[in-house]
Formats: sequence, structure tokens, C-alpha cells
Amino acid sequence: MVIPMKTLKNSLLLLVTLAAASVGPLIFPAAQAGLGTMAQSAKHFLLPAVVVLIVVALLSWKSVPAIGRSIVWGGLAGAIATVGLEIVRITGFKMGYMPGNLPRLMGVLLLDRFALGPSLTSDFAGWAYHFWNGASFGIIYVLILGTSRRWLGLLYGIVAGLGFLVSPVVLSLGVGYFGLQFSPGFPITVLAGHAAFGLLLGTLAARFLSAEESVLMTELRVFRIFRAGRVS
Amino acid sequence: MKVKSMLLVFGLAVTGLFARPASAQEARVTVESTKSYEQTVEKLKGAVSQGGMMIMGQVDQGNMLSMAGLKLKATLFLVGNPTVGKKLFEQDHGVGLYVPVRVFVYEDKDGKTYVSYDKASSLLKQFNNQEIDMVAGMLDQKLQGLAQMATH
Repeated sequence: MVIPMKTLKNSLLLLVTLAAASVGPLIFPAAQAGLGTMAQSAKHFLLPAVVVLIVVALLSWKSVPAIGRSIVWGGLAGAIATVGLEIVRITGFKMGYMPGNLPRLMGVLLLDRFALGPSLTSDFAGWAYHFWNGASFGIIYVLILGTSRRWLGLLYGIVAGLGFLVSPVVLSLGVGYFGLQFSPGFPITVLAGHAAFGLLLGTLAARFLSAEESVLMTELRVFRIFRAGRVS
Repeated sequence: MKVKSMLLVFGLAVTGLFARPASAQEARVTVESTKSYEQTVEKLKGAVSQGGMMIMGQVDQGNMLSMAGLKLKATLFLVGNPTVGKKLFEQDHGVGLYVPVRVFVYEDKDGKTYVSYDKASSLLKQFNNQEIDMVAGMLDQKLQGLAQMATH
């Protein structure tokens, strides 16, 4: 039995969307791991990924609404949920639990002006990048986990926070394993911030998209049906 | 005799505890500025070009550390000259660790501004090369002039 072209196209579109949404969150840890600089990665990978996501959203809005809507509403939910993360992070930073102001650091790295320190433009770039990451995580969340179980958002946020804590970013900050050499408040702030992000993301995505199944699960089910049909 | 020896050991230990390394003492020059931090930075920039040198790099450490929540005024300048650099590098490529020279302008906790640098002759004497020593001596004079112009 042959898998219909439409199913293949949808799956390909899903993979392209997931790949494009993953670029933003990946370039910071990649740069800290020594894989190019953030300025180069932003130019060569992030900006094209943004364009790809916009094009896919526009093209799929009517033909594959599940993907188009996931990009727009998942992205919006993620960007708004980042505000929750920021409130926790800034509070933690003011209380001395964070070694640095990460969006400002991201800004100087993006504009390749570390030696000169932050400026208004670099701060804008850093914040924009941070919120773009939130939007990207929102898109990935909706596509992979759907919106029917809000509590998954909380779990998703905590997992993202744990991922950050073991990433090359924390390693490059020189704050030890899980940032514990700096302060026990560091991992607590990071996890609390990401939990707030996840909670808001789960709630907002469910509100924006109502209870929808994960696009990934839908595609996998379709493939399973065709595979079962071929076997029998 | 035994007491004398013990006193000598004690004296050496105390001297060792409180003395700064001779090389560090010789190398570092710090000049207090009569101007504000901003004025000193501006005057230094002007003095560098007037002295036939150029600013090859600038590290705004004060601004950089604002990302870590620290407030201070401090800028490190990498000051050099391609012609002088060429003379030094022709002798030994290892001079790149110290050239271009570093000139640091900072406002201390007391609110006073300082211009600080290491004497090129102290840093470069380890190469045991007469040509390098000669250029380093000239750099010492230039740096002294720069610091005086920037701080007065």
C-alpha cells in the first residue's frame, strides 16, 4: 500500500517546521560549546529559520491548518509565556541568584560586541532573541504535545529548564554543575522560571487553540495505519 | 647563633609575606588623573593619536560587567602602532602576548580616576633581545607621555 502524497507532504512540512523552530534555542548553547559564534549562527541559521517559519505558516494556513495554526498560536503563547519566565528570572537576578543578565549577554553575543558591552541595540536584540526562543518552544510544544493536557506544559517547561542547566551555556558561565557553585538559588530560579513559562504556555496554548491533538501524534498514527494496512 | 638563625628565617618569612613581587612592582605604573573618568578617556584617545599610536582595541569592562550586575567605570585600551609592532615581531613572534600594550583607565572606589599600564620594558625584557629592549624603552617613553597627557 502506498502512502498518499498528501500525508508525506504534511510530514515533511512538520519536520521542516520543527527543525526551523529548533534553530533559535540551539544557537546559544552551540556557540557556547564552540560551534561558531552566535553572530554567525544568527546570520546563517536563525534568520533563514525565521523566514522558513513565516513562509510555512502562510503556505499551510489553509492547506494544513493544524501546522499553520500551531506556528502562529503556539508561537504567540510561547512569546507571552516568556513574560512569566522573565518575571521570575529578573527577580532572581535582583536577589543575586543569577550570575548575569542573560538576555543582555545574548544581545552582545548576537551583535558580536562583547568587548564593548551592551548597548540599546544589543539589549533589544537580546530580548528579541529571548522572546523568539519562547515562541519557538511554544511552536515545538504545540506540534509535539498538543494542547489537550495543560499540565504537560508545566512538565515541558521544567524539562526545558533542566536542559538549560546541563547545557554548555551554564558550563561557560563557570558556575559549576547545575550552577550550584554560584548559588543554590541559581537552579531554583531557572527551574521556577521555566515552570512558570510552561504553566503559562500550557494554559495559553489551550486557550488559543482549544483542545487539539499533537500534530506529530496525528502524523504518526496515519503512518501506523498505512503500515498496518501494508503488513496485513 | 641558633636564635640569630631563627630571627633571620622569621625576618625573611615576614618580608616574603608582605612584599609584592619585584617584577610586578617594577612593571605597573598608575597615574592619578586630575580629570573625571570620561574626560580622562577622551584625553587618552586624543593623546594616543598625537603620540603616533593608535587604539587597536577597546574593552569596556565597566559596561561589560553591568551584565553581571556590577557598576563601575573601567575601560581597557589596546594601544599600538603597526610600525613599532613590526619591529618587535620581526625579532620574536612571542611578543604578541604583550603587544599591543594595554592601557587601563578606571575609576576607583574613592571616585578618583587612574590611568594604569605595565612598562613595556619590564614585560619584554624576558626575551633577552637588544632590539626588543630598545623598542620597549621607546614604548615606555610613549606610554609615560600618554599617561601624563591623559591625566592632566
